[in-house]
Amino acid sequence: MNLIEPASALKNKLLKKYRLKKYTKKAHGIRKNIIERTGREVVTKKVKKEIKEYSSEMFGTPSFWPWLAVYTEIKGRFIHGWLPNDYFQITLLDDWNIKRFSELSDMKTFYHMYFDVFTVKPIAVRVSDIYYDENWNIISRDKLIDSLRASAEEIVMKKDGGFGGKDIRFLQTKNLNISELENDKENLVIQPVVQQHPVLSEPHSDSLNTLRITTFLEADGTVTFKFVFLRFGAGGNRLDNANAGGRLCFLNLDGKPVTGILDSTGLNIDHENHNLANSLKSLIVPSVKEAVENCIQHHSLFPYVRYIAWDVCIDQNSTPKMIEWNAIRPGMWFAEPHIGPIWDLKPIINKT
Amino acid sequence: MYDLISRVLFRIKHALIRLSDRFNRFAMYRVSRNEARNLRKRLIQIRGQKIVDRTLKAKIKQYSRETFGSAAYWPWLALYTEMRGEVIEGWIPDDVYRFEILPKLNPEKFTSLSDAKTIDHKLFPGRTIEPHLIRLKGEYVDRSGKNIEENQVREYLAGLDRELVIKPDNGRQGNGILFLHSNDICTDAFPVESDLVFQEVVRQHKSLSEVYPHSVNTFRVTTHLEEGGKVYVRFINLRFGTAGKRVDNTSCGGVWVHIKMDGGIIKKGFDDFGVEIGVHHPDTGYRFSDLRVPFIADIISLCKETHKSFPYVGLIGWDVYVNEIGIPVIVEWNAKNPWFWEVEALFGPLFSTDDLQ
Repeated sequence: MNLIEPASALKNKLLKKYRLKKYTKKAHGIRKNIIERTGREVVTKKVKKEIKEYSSEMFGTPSFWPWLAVYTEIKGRFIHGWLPNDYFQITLLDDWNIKRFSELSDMKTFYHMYFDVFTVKPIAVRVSDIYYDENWNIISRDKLIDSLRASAEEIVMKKDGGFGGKDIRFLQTKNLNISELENDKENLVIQPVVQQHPVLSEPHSDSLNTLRITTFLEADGTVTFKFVFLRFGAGGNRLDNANAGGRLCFLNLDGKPVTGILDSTGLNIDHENHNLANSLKSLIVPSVKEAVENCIQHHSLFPYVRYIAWDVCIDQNSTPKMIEWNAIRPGMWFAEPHIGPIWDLKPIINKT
Repeated sequence: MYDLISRVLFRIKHALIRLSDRFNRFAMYRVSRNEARNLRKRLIQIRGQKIVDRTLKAKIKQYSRETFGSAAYWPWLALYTEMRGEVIEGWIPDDVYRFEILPKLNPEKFTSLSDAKTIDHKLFPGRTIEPHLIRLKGEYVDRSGKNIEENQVREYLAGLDRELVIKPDNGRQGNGILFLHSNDICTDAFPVESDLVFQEVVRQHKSLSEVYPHSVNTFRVTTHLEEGGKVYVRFINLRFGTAGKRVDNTSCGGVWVHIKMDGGIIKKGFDDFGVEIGVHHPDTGYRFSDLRVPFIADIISLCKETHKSFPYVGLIGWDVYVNEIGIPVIVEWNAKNPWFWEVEALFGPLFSTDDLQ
């Protein structure tokens, strides 16, 4: 039994190394892709040396240079103060977002229990193959279909544990049959499809286009906002996620874009979408400030994790509604090259 | 996509994981069965007699083989037999409960939440004790979600002017609990590593204080969410502290009585080990069967409704206290390893094999 603790510590150390290696490999892949597409390489030998020195000085080792190099390729120059993505994900996030609390963000079926009116109210949830209403009253399968039809013409079903837009299905309720809900037995939430504000339909009308807002619980207990971007779908896809080909642009608190259109590698692709890029210049997304304030407020009431990425839609009444929150592996690296540095490194590096 | 070395490393990694899992399983069962053997030895010493002879042991092994597919589950069944005085078919040995049934009913990602006392009031609002303060990773947060600096905690708590109980997350069996008056708080006394919850020391119903006044005497109610979504209560016990202790946990010397669903009390009390301690409380002499629990229906209803609102786990052990005006409130919940084997041995079988499919 005395071997278990040191063995466990060794296992964790090896796992951390393995995960760091995977992130490094990802950075190399993204950087290679960017260089191929842009036809230029910003990170020369000299720049690489500067990046490595910065990495050594700030993070104790030069080995965090690959993500900093990715940011440099995107930005066109290296900026001191950036936080490399692997350091963020492996060293900081594991400490900030303890697993047993962050895993609550996977439980879409439970959102309405602690995020009240901020979240989209479920019509029904299915847990352990039983259907419940929002107050946990059991609904029989017969009554469920009637209830769904009475609530909405179209519903969206999302599985617990689904991410990146996977495990989401849209169904019309008019001729809905129970077998359509039961491809499998996983826990899921059934919500009415949100009717988004017309302004949000402008970039791409087929998808629900959401705001990604990130908030951070500072050491003094205040919650601050890090960034907000608008995501929108492409090619007729219903989803706005990057995995589904979605694009994004960063916004300010007034709802105005502060970058062009960015793709899943963080590259500006305005030149591939002239009309859309032009129309975005005059876009003003409503209620962004209110959405950010809601996220800050709700994060304050949930101080169990320090960094949260919220997906928020703006409905037809300009009301922000939380679609999802992410605390397991919420991202941030896109923001660094485009609007960063977004972190005050001194307090967060010293603390770990 | 992956080069050859990555593929090989991937396979080695998964083979090592499988090997590690098999070893862990072997170790878990072995430790558990040794525990059963040791407990049985102790019980035989205390009682001065042995019930499980060779014939009975063979019968137990036969039952184990037929019901669970192997005779190896006999140690816990033998312990139950020593406690009960006879073999009862339908028993579930503790190793089957812990390593085969519980992991299926209670997935780990949800059960770990039951260790986090700091979040109970968020999961079950209005049904649990609302904390005055929580400490999360060294940061103090008040009821409104506002951060309080450590050097201001003392002042904040002094303003409450009442007795507080401070409990660590992951604390078990009453360990690590501090009782302090809010005027005497010193943050140096707090455990350093864990998250903490600061609650007011509650006042329990008079009838429970009469049995033993120094601890909050809690009901342990185990609820089971069955396949159709209905929640059943499997058993209810009531615990009392002893010897001046402030906690009622049996591991700290507390005793317990079994309560029927109609509120009737089984007249004998039991200790941590399931050994009878007589019909009176050892300190106050209160006769257990004189106790009335008119609020039992409310306790059952509270636990059932609360379990329904968290249908992610199948078995939950609720600790419930009853306040001065007879309203039950949840103190904590346990989904990792809810109390089982003593009650199964003495009052079970608590489940049919169909219940736990």
